[in-house]
Amino acid sequence: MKKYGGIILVGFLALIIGLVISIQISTTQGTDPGGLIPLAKAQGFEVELKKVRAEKEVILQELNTLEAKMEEIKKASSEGDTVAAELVSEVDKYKMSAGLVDVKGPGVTITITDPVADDQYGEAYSVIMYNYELLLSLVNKLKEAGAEAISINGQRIISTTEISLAGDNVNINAVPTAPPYVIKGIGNADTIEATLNIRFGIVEQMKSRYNLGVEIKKSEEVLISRYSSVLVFRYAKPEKVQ
Amino acid sequence: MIKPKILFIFIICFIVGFTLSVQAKMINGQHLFVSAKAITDLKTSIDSELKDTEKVQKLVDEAKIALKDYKTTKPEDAAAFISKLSKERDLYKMISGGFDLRGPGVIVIIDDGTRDLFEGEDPNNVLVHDADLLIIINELKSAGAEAIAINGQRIVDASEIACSGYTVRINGQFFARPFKIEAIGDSARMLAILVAPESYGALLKDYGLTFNAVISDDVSISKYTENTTYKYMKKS
Repeated sequence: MKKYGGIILVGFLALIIGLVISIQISTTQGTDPGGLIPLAKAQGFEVELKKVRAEKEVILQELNTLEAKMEEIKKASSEGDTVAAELVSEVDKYKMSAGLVDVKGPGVTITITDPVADDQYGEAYSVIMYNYELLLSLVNKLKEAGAEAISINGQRIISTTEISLAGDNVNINAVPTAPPYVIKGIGNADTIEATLNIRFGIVEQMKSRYNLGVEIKKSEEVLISRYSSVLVFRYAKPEKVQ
Repeated sequence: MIKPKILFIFIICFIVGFTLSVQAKMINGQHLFVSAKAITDLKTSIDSELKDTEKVQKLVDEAKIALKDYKTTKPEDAAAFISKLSKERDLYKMISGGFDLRGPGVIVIIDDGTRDLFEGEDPNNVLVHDADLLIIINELKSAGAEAIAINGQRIVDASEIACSGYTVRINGQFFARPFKIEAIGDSARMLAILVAPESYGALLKDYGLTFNAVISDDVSISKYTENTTYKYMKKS
């Protein structure tokens, strides 16, 4: 017995080391390729996101200042000229219905979050992104309920807005978007909320069938930003007016 | 007897092993459980903001040019000022669907299937629904359609497509099968997306519905005729 004492000890040590290694592997690899990521790295992304958002704010501010200046010039030049004044008001009107103006009003804010991934089957993909028809349908429901302006993650819905799955991204207005999805709508908040929350309606379906988190918040003032791209018609031409 | 030396090594190894496993589980201070999805979502959000910034930058450039243009126009030159204004008005009016448009594009016909049902099959399988139209319209938009109409009704930003019994309501007007979707844009690209093997149109055909897409060099789409007064939204 004494003769094998050392061997038993070594065997025991090997067992412990094996255990440690297996614990290591199971915690770092697992089913989810994400696993443990240094906090600094994750925070780095969040900081970067904040930074680019701030940059965008600055540029938007610049755009707003320029537009305000333009308005001033237009107003000054059209003073006393009824034709020009009429035109200026028409420009404003059509610009608004084209979705090229920041707007505000009462409405709802809907937040859609992916199901919380449990450790066992960590979702490597986003449920809401792979079922983007839900977004399409939700937007349609908002329109049905009379929403006057709608945006998804800051992308204003205009007549040419697409919601399409391109590779791993859902593109809206050709801009890639990611969950959580925040959908804003201006209109009669009660009507919109009731339309969405109806029994067996879209929200119930999203919750029960897809396990998504859906939160609808009514508010007195919802801000929706303008469509932020240059629009060019390359194919369509206005019909000649006789 | 076990030699004290071996006992010592054993204790050291045990402690090291224990610390390692504890480390792996508990270093909350420096590590965070983040799924790969969360990281990709963050990256996509960053991409999204960058792309948006780029677009806004373009708008800023354009606004600068326009501003310069207005500034250089002499105050007494009213005609030039008015022509500039009406040009601007026409562009916005065109975007908001205020003009009849004409151009190359595609015409899509969608109709209920005429095949017999299988035993016990849901008749909905061979009928056209609002979701079908919605997805086809969305495919057209992602293919770069500039103007779209269903059965002559122009699709604008606020256009809903709602199934209500036997009819489909678009812009508050009622329509029934067959549905004729017209779109102006890059016709080759639109057709390619519409008839691709994995497209929604192919799926509809598999179900036995009628789905027919053809290129046309001259599609004309009428303007949006409903009134657009806003009750809730205001310029912010």
